[in-house]
Amino acid sequence: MSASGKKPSRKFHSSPWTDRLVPVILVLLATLLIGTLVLVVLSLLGVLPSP
Amino acid sequence: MHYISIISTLIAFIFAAAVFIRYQERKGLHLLLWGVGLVFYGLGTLTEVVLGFTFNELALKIWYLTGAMLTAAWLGQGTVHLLVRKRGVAFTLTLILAAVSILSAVLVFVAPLTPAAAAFNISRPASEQYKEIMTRDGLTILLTILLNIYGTFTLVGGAIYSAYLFWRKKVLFNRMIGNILIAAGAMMPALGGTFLRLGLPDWLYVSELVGVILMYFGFTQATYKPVAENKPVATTS
Repeated sequence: MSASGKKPSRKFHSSPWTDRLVPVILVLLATLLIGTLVLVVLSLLGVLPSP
Repeated sequence: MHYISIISTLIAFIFAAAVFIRYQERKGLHLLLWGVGLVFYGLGTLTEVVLGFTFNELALKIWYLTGAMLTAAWLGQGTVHLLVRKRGVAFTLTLILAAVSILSAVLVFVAPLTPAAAAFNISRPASEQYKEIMTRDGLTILLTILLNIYGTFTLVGGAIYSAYLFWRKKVLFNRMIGNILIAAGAMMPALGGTFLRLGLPDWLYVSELVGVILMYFGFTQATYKPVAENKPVATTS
């Protein structure tokens, strides 16, 4: 228990791949998110050609 | 490709049941909202199955309402309830979403179909044909845009943010992985539209299936509790 009475969360030992790969994946996902949002807006507005 | 939508539907409803069971145990409103969002996901893929066999006006409208308008927004609203701590904000947004959802349902169900409905081709995806068949006014299109942006941003963005926090603090490895999978899975149906534009309509079905599998796996990872956590820890003081 911590001083606040709340049980501390379990820590994990990070490996080199966790340190490097996870942020890369998160940045990739964030980029995809922004790209997808832009595409959604453009396609629904009819700016992009529909199939 | 009907069988892919059938599998997606089964997984979506099993996933929804798992989330509702967890809601019964934990009582977090975010779980209830995720469950509702997954029921919409399942309804979207289920009506896709129906439209793969025969044309039905009600099925097409439920498909559009759930698949194109409500699913992402309700799933994202669950994440908003989980992450937004400021009192009253999440609840107010939920009330607004409920009102917008009712308005969306009215707009979709009262809109007449065009004569092109008679030429509906069951061998082509509904997503290729709905624009010719459904009459959507400006408000419906605007709500579709806003609901999709809101849902995708909150669901995917919330999962990315949560994963980042776990990674930065080096805590709860399972939840970090779970949130990465949820973010990737939630992105899939959104990317389905891109596949359509690339002339790969069948990939829409695949993206829905991969999406719901990744999210379900992510959910099980994020809610998995290692046995060691349940054991009492001996203290020295």
